[in-house]
Amino acid sequence: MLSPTLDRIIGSRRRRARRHVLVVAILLVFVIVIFVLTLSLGQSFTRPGDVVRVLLGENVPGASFAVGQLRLPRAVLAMLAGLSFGLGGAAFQIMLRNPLASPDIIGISWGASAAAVFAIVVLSLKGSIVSIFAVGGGMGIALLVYALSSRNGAAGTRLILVGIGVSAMLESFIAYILSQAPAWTLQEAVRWLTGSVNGAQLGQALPLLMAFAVFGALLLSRTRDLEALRLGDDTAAALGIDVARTRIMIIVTAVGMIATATAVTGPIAFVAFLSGPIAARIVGNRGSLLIPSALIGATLVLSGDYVGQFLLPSRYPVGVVTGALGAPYLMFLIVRANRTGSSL
Amino acid sequence: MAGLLALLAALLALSCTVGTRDVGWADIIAALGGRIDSIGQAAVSVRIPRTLLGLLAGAALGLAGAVMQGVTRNPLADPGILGVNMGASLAVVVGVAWFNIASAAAYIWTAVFGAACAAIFVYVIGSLGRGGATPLKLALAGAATSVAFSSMVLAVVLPRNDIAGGILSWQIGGVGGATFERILPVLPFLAAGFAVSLLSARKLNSLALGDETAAGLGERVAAARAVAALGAILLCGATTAICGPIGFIGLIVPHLCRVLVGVDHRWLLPFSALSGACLLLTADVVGRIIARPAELDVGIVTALVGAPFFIWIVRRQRVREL
Amino acid sequence: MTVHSLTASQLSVGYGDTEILHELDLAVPPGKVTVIVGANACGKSTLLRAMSRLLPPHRGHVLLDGKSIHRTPPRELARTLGLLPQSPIAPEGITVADLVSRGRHPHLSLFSRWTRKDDEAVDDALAATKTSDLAERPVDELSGGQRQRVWIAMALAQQTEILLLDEPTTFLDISHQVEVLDLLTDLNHSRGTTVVMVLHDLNLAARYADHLVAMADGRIHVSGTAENVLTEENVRRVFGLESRIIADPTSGRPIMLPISRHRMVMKQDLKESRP
Repeated sequence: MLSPTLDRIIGSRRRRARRHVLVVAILLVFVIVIFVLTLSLGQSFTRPGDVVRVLLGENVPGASFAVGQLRLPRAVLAMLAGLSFGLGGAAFQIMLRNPLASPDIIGISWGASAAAVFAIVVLSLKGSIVSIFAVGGGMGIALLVYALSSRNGAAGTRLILVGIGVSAMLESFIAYILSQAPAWTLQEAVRWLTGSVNGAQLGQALPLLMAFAVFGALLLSRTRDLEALRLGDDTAAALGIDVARTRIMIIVTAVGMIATATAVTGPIAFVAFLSGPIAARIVGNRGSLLIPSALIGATLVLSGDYVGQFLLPSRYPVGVVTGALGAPYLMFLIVRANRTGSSL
Repeated sequence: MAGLLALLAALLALSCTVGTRDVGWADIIAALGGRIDSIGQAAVSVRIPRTLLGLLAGAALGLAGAVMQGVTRNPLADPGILGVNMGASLAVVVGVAWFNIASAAAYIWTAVFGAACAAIFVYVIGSLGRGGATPLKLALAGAATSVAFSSMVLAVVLPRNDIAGGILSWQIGGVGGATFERILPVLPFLAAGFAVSLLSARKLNSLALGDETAAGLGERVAAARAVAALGAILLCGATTAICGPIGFIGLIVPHLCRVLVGVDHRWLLPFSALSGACLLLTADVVGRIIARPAELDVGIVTALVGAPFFIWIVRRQRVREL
Repeated sequence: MTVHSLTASQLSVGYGDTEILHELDLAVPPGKVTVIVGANACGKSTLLRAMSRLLPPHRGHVLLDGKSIHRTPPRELARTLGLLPQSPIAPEGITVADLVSRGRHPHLSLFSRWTRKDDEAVDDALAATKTSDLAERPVDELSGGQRQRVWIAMALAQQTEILLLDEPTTFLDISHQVEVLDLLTDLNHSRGTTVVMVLHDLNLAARYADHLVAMADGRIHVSGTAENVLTEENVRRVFGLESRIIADPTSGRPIMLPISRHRMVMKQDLKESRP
């Protein structure tokens, strides 16, 4: 027996799923297009055909250096960092049901950045050991903020306020370390305070790629649990989710991803914060926000870096561009939440 | 009160003696008499204006914090958290980079203007909609504004290598490098700020009972609030103009003073000013000692001490879930 | 339909160091509607939360078919025991059908796909709660009563034989309260679902309960049929309130009328109060 409602339910569910796949596909194409564009457009123009040939390992006179040595590492790092920030940020926002609970606002990115700066400037370390420090720092701050704000279970609001306090402290700490560094350059300071992909090298991409692949896969396997957490902790538990364990799992994977990216690019301002809400605007409630958020993150960092390099009167690192973009959005969010009286 | 004054006197003396180079009392007395024969005396003659500035700035920030917490009835209000200091900072940076302001008076006017704009902006954003200006909304609006302004400061500064170094170190906030010539022009602003703030104590006492009760007691709520806020803004703006943004003193001090003297603003305000001065001088002295031979800027010390305090308040408070 | 038994034995639960329930015993009669009542802060919501695994017990057990629910894998438990918390959260813009389909979560594993059976469960839940017409509407746009029916639909899509509800009628006006309670009674009659809920309103509780449980100070004061539980003596003990109990002319169930110190018209009371 087929009730007409059943048909409608199946139909609309399939429609939603199809549209979700379509949106993801469009975003993916978009990221690829921007990626190729940033490779071919720079101080000089390189034809996309030549870009592809360089990527395939051919030696193209006049293009190999500009594309292969200058633009490619930059674009690869920007993309991977964007994916990591977008995915990790959205996971936090969904898990805590609050767009303000993104890792860059509650201090986790600052923790990773502070640990990276400490490792580089004070301990004179280099390479992947810095990533390990950053992951440790991010994880430590995540646990600290979580522990400080929990009282009979973590309360969202308190978590955010505690995070703001911790961020202020870490920011000062970074400023102090940098001001004490023997060879203190403005560029370095900007990297660790707002994020930048200047001076990118292809070798830096490997740890980032690995972290994104491993942590990303683990995180995506929890998509359904995350969706259920959006209904509230109690409802999620009633649906058979071990809330505490799921939380820890998500925190570990998201922080791992974000901290590894931060160790290379610095805390690129607001990408983790912005990606989720933008993805929600585009995707609506057709499906999970995780993959769209990652793609939006990549788009933001790639295009932000391009704008900062070439489209403004002087060169800015990507973090300044995304910071200037993100702050008004944050205020918009607060104003809107105030007007509707809804939760943020 | 007497104890606090004694503490302040001790700190003033300490601040003159302690530093990269410790000096004896003989040198201090000589330097106070205007002699700079020995290195010690020279060091002291640098430290005297620094100490004076620390005294003024600390008192101003402590008082401003107490007034802001009273005006907004919000335990998290602080010129740093609410973005007021950052507003002053951005105004000064823009003034220096684009309008070539150089005179001390222009500096201060710009900073006060920036502080006022930021304060109004944050308060309006934080109090739109239901529930008025709750601690969470104000703190968030302030944090967002701070981030936005600091991004803009970077955007203004980065292309200008000529001024970048100076501005970035000013951004951290400190009282080092003070001279009498730099302190002098700010005095009228601070004096006006102190006067207005201290005189609004009674109004703040009625505001503390809630807007409606205050109106019932015959207070003109909006006017009272505006006057008291003006006093706080004058204090923050003027302080930021010479010291850079120093956070958290305005947050911590009123809470400590409430424990000491209770919630009556007629006592709370002067106590906050005195304790603010004590705290800033302590932070400055500590910053000089722990990082020898270098110095730690006051702004960093107050943030490292202040942020945990902020967290403590957040934890203690029953924060309402938005 | 197999009949599951849910019991609490020697259950002590609390938050941190403060203990709220003290060595409490409760056997939920299978296939019946059980209603828990009591004054504020007597521990009735805590009891419901402990029975549904949201709170770990300090001592004692909650047993489902003789097995501790805290040792049962959460997903498996969620196929037998459903809970509708007091203030569930609807993600912004979510449609009714989508929200109800979230109830299928415990029936899906990491790699299993959504099947026709899941669609049928959703359809069934919508039909049972008369929300089929709302299927495509965003939950944000619904009235309080409609929204509560949708949440119940979500719990139904979970297809559990026991359903716990924490004050399902709060924030609803009186007609919607009756509508929701009638709906739950329908489910109990037609599907044999065991319903356990916390209610605030004593008279509604007495009207709908097969088994009424009155709690005070973290203990069960008395339990049984409405007629046995809702007595003047028990109201005085549990709520500290003087009352008169009369029979409801339509349902025959007891009704509690509070006695106030004013506006007494009955002669004997007036005489008694005058020395």
